[in-house]
Parts: sequence; C-alpha cells; structure tokens
Amino acid sequence: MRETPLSSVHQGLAAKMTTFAGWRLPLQFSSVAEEARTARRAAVLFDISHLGLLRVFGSGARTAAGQLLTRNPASIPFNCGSYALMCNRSGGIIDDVWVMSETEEVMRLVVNAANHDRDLERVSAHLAASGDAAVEDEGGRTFTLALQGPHSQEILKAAGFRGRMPMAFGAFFHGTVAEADLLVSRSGYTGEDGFELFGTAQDAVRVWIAIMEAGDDYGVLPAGLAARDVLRQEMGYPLWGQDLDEQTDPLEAGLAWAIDWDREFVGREALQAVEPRRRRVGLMLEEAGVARSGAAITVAGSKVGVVTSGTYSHNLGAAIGQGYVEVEVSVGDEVKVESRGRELAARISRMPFIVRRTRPSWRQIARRERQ
Amino acid sequence: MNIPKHLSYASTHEWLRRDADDVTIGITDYAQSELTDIVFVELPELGRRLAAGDEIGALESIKAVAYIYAPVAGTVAGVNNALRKQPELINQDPYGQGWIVRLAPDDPEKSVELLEAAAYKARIEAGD
Repeated sequence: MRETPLSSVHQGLAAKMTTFAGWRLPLQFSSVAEEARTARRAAVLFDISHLGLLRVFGSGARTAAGQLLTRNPASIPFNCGSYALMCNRSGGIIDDVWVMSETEEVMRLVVNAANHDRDLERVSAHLAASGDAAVEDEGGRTFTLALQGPHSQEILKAAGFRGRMPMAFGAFFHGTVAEADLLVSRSGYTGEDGFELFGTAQDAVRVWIAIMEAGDDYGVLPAGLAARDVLRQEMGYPLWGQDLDEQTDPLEAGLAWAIDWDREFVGREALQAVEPRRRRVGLMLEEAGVARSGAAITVAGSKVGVVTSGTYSHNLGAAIGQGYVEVEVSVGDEVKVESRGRELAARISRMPFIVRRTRPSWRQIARRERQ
Repeated sequence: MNIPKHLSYASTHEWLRRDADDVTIGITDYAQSELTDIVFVELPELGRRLAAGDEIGALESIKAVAYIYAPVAGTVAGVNNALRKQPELINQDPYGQGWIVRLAPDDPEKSVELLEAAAYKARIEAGD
C-alpha cells in the first residue's frame, strides 16, 4: 500500500482512510456533506498526491506524446494545461489526462492513479520508438494538493504565495508557498475556482499547514475522496474506471470537445467512423434512494441504459448520477433506475447539475480575443 | 471508537438495549463511520413480525447500501420517524437520537449471537 507524503497529517487529523488504486488516502475528515458544502461556499484542501505525474521531455516531446493524445500539445500555449484523452486504435478511452505544456521541450501529464503504470509503459514505449523524447516518472518524489472553492485565491495569497498568479482556468506558473517551490495551476475537478499545487515530497507538510492556517479565517476544511467524488458528480465530470473505459469512445462519452481532429493520433481513424448508439447523460432521482453503478435504466420495462456513477448531493438535496442511455432517450425523459430489486423514478438530466464557477479558461479568452 | 458498555452488539454491527417491554436497536458508531454519510433510511412497517436475523430495513449512504438485521425475534413496536427527514442523526448520535427500531420481543431466548462491548470491540479491531 502506498502512502502520500501527507499521511502523518491525515493521521493527526484522524481522517477516515480508504484504499484507492493501491494508495491509502483520506476518505473523509468531518462529514461528506460538510466537506462538499464547504467547497462550494468557502474552500477545501485535498491531498491528491496519488495522481500520476509524468514528465515528458526532449526535442520531439510534443510531437511524439501528441500522437498518443486527442489534444495536440503544440496547440497548448506554454504555461497552459488542457484536458485530453488517450485512446487505443479502436478509439476506446485508455485514460483521461491533464496535459501541461511547459516549454518547447518539456510537458507534464497528470494521469489517473489506476492507470499510472500502464500509461507510463505506453508513453515510454512510444517515445523510445520516436528517438528524440523520453518520459520520467515523478511519482514518489512529489505531492499534489487541490485547493478548491470560491475563497481559494484569497487563501493562497494569505498563505504567502510568491510568484505570478495564474488567472485563466488551466494556466499555471512556478511560484512558492512557505518557501517551497511549486507549480501552481488554476484547475481542478470540482467546478469551483481553485488551484492544483505540485511540489516536492519533503515540502508537502509545510505547504499543507501554511494553507490550512491561512485558510482558517476563510473557513477552509480538509476534504477527502468521498467529497471529491460528490463534487465531480455534481459537475457531471466523468471518472475513468467508472464512467469511461476502453470500451467507451469519446463521442458517446460527450468528450468530442477534447479532440483536435486536424492531425494524426492513435484512435483517430476509428473515431472518424463512429456513430454513437448511446451517450452519457445525467440522472436525477425523484424518489428516495441512490442509483448505484451498474444499475439498469429502463423505460416501460425495457432496458435503455446503465448507471455508471451515482451519489447523493447535499448541495442539491437530491440523489444524482450519470450513465449511458440509447441515443433515442432525451433530456427530460422519465425513466426508472433499478435499486435493490425496486424501480426508482428518475429523470434524464443535463449536466452539470450545478453551475460551473471556474474562471474563464485560456482557450475561452483566446477565442474571445480572436473575435 | 465509541462502544458503550451497557449495550449488546450483533456481529452485523447493530446495538441493542433491553428495556422493560421492548428492545431498541440501532447501528454502532463503527458501522456509521464505515458507511460515511447516511442519506436515506428504509424503515419497517409497525406490527411486522420478525425472526432473529431477519432484515429490518436498509441504510443508503454516500458510499454504499447496508442492511439492518433483527438481533432478536419480535414485532416492530416503533420506528424512529425523525430519520426520514434527518438520516444524518445516525452519523451524529448513533446510540441516542439515531436509534432505528423498537421491537416487542416474542421470546428473549430467540436471538442471534450477541456480544458484550469488549468482545465487539475485539471483533472490529480484528478487522471483522
């Protein structure tokens, strides 16, 4: 079992721990409801050091790594990050990743913990074949925190942040907090304004304490994986392994916006021929119960889809979820979701369930400037 | 972990308190903590007869669903209606305001294996 550089802090706070992708991680500190509410009203701090961090470097880094990604790294300005998918030849999603473009010759990939080993092997083999780029696994030597919520920027400043503040969603700069060198990215997985901070393992506890102390005046709370899952579901964000997998393509997943079609990449040919027969939608339950992953979605007794994620949102006061349904099923349709041998009334919903409050992304700003 | 000495425990993580006419049942502090935030509670109908070990109801939490089992045989004599609106009472006060069901026992001899606090503590520490 792997532990993050913050395990002593979690123990000190008596966090309830869980196991996720071979890591021992905090599931909750206070209550899921309290942590999820605080993320939308004030701010919360997550330890997300389990995420894989791969540094890709060399004169051919962007071109070679770009062949494995649905986004063209050459179209991502320096000091900007972007969501992208890694697909197989059939167009199935191997992983969803965050690509950070640093210089002509350096980029970083933030990958799912569950896929880290496989991604590293795949990227490594591909780059070796290209000859002018290589990958380095930064896991184990690093930590990652996510500070998320409307007060995030004030808290980061109060914690003594030095450096250039990234203002657009997806932008990042090098900076320091508590004299620790950090890569500070304006990004996250909650739909709130906030930052992801990447640093060196030995500084982890110092940075955590600096942020928690500065955040005290703003009501910051530590938060665990359970609240993180609720927050991402409120935003309709997919989680690889639940809502995305190798049998799922980006078009049915509603992620075609993360594809740069105008160049070659693994899976492009298959994806150009795809005609989705199902699509990812939101679900809102209309009676007491929770939709669990794997539950059948039915209309008039016939199965039209399956739930891939479900939870209860205290922010909405309702059970929500997401799943895949046949393309004939529309937003607003009444359906049933199977739960413990019963059928619960639910409605197909648009996602996100909660209005996104992130800052405009560098892509949106660039598009606006062009107009 | 809070495990009051005056209660009895089932290996399925229910606690039970015997009073003059009935027994009160809830889930333990350990159980509520394992479940995380409880969001829905399914309670039995009043008057339902249960054998020891029968399913009484279900708890839906953020993380999972858990079933509650009758530690003794009896008839449902009361349910905690406050849980319909405030299921979080089970998380906040599992041995008090978070009680779940009252049973009028048929025969006090008819019960599942019940543990004293120390034995229950030993069992959860052993990871059961």
